Amino acid sequence: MANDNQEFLKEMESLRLDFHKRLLRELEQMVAYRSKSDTQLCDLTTIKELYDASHKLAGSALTFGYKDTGILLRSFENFLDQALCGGNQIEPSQMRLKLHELAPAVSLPSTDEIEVEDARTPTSEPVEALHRNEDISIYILEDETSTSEALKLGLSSFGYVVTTFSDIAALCEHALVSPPDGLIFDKSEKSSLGNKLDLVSKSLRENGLGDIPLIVISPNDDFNEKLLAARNGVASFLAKPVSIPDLESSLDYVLQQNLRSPYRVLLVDDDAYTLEHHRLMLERWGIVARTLVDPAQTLELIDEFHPDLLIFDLHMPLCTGIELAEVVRYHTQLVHIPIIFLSSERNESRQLVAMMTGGDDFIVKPVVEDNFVTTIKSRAQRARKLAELMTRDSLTGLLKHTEIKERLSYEFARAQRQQSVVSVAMIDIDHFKKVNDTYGHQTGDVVIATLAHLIKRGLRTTDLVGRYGGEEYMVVLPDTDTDNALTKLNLLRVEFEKIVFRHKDEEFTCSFSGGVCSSDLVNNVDDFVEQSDRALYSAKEQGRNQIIAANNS
Amino acid sequence: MSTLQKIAHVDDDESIRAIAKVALERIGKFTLLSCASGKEALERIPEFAPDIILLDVMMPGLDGPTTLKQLREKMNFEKTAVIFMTAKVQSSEVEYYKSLGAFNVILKPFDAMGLSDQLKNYWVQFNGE
Repeated sequence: MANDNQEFLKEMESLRLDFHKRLLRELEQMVAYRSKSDTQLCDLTTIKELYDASHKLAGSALTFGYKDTGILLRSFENFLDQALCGGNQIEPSQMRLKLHELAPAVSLPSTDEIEVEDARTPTSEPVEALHRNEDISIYILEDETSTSEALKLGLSSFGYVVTTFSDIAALCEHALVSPPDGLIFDKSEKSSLGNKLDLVSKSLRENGLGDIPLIVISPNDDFNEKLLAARNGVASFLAKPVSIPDLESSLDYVLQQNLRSPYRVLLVDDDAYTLEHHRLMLERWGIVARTLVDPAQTLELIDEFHPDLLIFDLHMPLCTGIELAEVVRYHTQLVHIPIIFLSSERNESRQLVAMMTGGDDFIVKPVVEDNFVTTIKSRAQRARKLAELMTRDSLTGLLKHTEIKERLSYEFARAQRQQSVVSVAMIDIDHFKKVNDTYGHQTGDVVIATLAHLIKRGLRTTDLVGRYGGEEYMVVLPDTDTDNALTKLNLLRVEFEKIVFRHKDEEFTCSFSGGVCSSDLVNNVDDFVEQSDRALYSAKEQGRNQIIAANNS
Repeated sequence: MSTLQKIAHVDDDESIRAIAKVALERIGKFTLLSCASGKEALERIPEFAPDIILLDVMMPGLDGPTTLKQLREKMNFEKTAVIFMTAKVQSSEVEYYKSLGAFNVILKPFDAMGLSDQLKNYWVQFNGE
């Protein structure tokens, strides 16, 4: 069965490559229609043709995991559908606008950014090169005399492709040809952000580039400045001075949001039909939903399904949604999961009661699809962010000590169950005390954060990274044997020693040592950790800046 | 109950047919008949006598519901479960499809990895166990 699954994934991958080509071809054809539509009124036959094409393409795009593209196509399809239903022709200007919205889809993410559900690299295959940011293009808009050169250098060392512009018009022109993944507005003078930002966001919107995440770096850290940024749809606001790791993690967060795994929602309702209706509605928007008619099984299903959010019907025969929420809230580890009540109850005092006892929001049935999905998405997003803060180290964004250990146990157990191999690596920065003593703790922190980002960036999404101690990291590599783990870590090691750190006018480099062990060599998790720790110790003994594997002994 | 073995899949999109083929043959080990249109389905499905028919709703020419109606005149559906596949489900639609005799509806995009298991479950339900 394991082999069949690998075969399956391989075949899927090759199908996806074929589809990738087809998608690009057909999208280009569709967008190319724009030039035709410049003058002509779009007649119903053409609308129908475009409608059929976008319907078909949207379906396969979503099936192959091209979520953003699929959603773009769906919205185009709905737009055409409305015209068809009304029997209306479409004005050239309107058509142009809609086709313009499709343009970003043509510059698709490269295939390796698309997630296949639980697709793991089989151990037998060669390790792919490190995942870097090379495909990620960032435009920096300089403000008069600002010094974006340092930013450019810093981000380049993380592998981003950075282009700087001093003029918003020139930036837009380039962006229309090859849209960047993110924009940074590096503002220099002490004056207020005011007109300048208005101009930037207005230009972006007018060119149909409004969806590209914008990060503002500003010398002013006051409230009004941030308010202004918020009003202009700025995704992230950083006050100067900005450290490169800070900027990188901000970019990482802003850019990754769409690539994260889908939100998971558990729906409890006594009416199976309503349940199915809501489930399909959510799944259409890429949310994974599980349903439950019997409230008594709620806790078990939460345990198994790990939802980001719970939706309870208010009136059920066995218990009310409010009672069910209280039962859930008895479990402190579930406190952070938002609960939304659904009911046809419009009476406000009843709504208030619902809020007071463990609920977070209240939606009146029948739900309006857009509002329903938006509410759920934004709640789930906040909940995830909170859960992340609870489990992640604040300096590095990596998993905390206890969390990574728990995940390691889980992966170890899984490997044994599935007869696969998981590797663990302990990593420690060489002579870190000297860095701290010579350049100060702040610089030391930069080194720690930089290595954290480097490791995260270089690994697959299924790999796990934790900050194990001060300058010590634990990396868990599922479905990876010792040789592959060594290759990966050595790639990281070589990358790391190349990074130049600066403290005032001094430049320095660092290195790390690592110890690796794979699960087929040990019988339990404690041994697993101990063996990799010993290997790390040997690496240090033998002169540092190297990775040593534990061997059968 | 006989084991689920033969599946007919009707979809006008070549990529979807390809993905379903890999998913159903490789993971489910089913015998699969792929049809690119309602017309092809009418010609080939009665003879193939599948256990399950996966039928895309929106197709040019004969759409899914029409194909099903015409298939009914050509074969017996006592032992065959019909499952519609669609990207658009309004509340009224699932019931409409069921009123046409569909056993269930699978929403697109479907999970290729889980499709075979999903069909096995439906097969058990269809046979009332």
